[in-house]
Amino acid sequence: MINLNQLRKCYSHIPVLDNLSLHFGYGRTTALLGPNGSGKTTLIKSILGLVKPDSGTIHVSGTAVSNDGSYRRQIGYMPQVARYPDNLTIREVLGMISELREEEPKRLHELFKVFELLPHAEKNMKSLSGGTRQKVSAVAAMMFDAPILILDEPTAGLDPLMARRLKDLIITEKAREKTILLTTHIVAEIEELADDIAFILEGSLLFHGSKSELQHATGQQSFEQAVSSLQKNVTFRRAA
Amino acid sequence: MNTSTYISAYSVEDLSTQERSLIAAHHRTSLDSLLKVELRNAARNKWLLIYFAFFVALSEGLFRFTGMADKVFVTLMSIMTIVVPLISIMFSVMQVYNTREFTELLLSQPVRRSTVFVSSFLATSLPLVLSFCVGAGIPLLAHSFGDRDLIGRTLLLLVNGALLTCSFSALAFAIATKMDERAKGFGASLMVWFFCAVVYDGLFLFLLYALSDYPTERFALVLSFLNPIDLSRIMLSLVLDQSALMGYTGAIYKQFFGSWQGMSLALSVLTMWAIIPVIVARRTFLRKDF
Repeated sequence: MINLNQLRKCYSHIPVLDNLSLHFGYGRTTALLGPNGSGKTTLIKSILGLVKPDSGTIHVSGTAVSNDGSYRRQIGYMPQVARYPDNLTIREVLGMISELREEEPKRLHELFKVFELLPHAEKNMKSLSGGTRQKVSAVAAMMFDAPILILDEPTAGLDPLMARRLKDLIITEKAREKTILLTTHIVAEIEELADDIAFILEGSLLFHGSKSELQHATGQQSFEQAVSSLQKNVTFRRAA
Repeated sequence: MNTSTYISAYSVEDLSTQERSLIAAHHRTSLDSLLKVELRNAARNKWLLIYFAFFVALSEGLFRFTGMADKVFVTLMSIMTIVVPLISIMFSVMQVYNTREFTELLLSQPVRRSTVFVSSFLATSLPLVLSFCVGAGIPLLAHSFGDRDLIGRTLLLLVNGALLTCSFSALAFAIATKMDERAKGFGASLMVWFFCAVVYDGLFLFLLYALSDYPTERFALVLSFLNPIDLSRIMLSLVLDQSALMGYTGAIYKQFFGSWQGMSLALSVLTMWAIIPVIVARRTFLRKDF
């Protein structure tokens, strides 16, 4: 579904992505893990065309990532930080995105109900809290029923009830065989939502496989210990 | 695959004429929808309203206090050449930083980068141009009713203000797109304005003084073309016959700008000062790693 081949990106001659090859399979939910600065965001932004790699190729559903941008019609993206023009209402922002995609939102009403956004629909963005803006981002990512979802720390900033509802939505999307790419630092969330783990360190892939494969590879009983052991391994490598 | 092949993975030559016209129509629609909503956002911006009200109050107030069109024009010109570039560059740089995350969200949609750039540049610079032109223009035109000279000067003042707005707004876009750190971007923008509005004049005078043994008049003319604020200031001063205050250099200026060829050249250079920064800003935006 998403194929990265020999992706390389340097910032001031320091490689952030170092000949990284990775395949995110159809209908799989992959948690992208790695310490801060490991290249997770650069990887996501490369798929979206926000960052232009120095070399390597990216294919989304068989289509090469290009300047044209039409391949992004297949992607719903929820960024980590949600900021919108101050003087626009939720309805205006979502309407604009809808016009840009030339698509009618398929699930707008349902998502507005789930995130309790109806009372805020006509409010200006500047009057909304960070959490509410985050919910708007979730709606923007999911309202077109795109086959690929890229969610960058989706539950950060949401209250426990809304975080639960968002996770339930992600589980529903999983069941509908969406390809989901997710970054999060919450181990319980990874365990609940992800099928696969891709662990990135200094721009290279350290581990890619299913949750059970990770447990097997690290020899740990619990999933939390397996993730911690990967992280410890990193700390050990860095110290060395 | 290197960056250029990555960018041109979709070759335009592969597409049929019908597909190309469909894509072009899609880009026009995208620009229309973006611009429509972004202009709506700008229309509700209270700073733009204050900027508009400032020029209405200033030009109307000046007419009421002085009652003389020439005095109003000189004062307005002096204030315009300082305030318009300053507000344009600072407002635009603030706008770019404030909408950085939203720009990223737009770029993650099926839309071209150039479309996003054009819409955000127009949505920032057009309201600034309109605020100035309508704000300063209405009182000026109302008071210059029937006076063809004054109408001509007013139009020249408005065109100068509009071109300076575009120029400094585009400079802000280039700076803020290039520099990820807000503080650095604001600092650099302020420095650009300070250099053009204040420092350049000092350097200009110093050079003329240092080279006073040589004929510097033509050199001065060239120097005035290298800074949009100076160019605008000189162009507007000369339509008011202030050249007598500038000695022999003033006479050269008068001779040059007084002719329609000279004035057209000066306006063309100022237009270039508005266009080139836009091209640079667009290029920076298209190449940017967000």
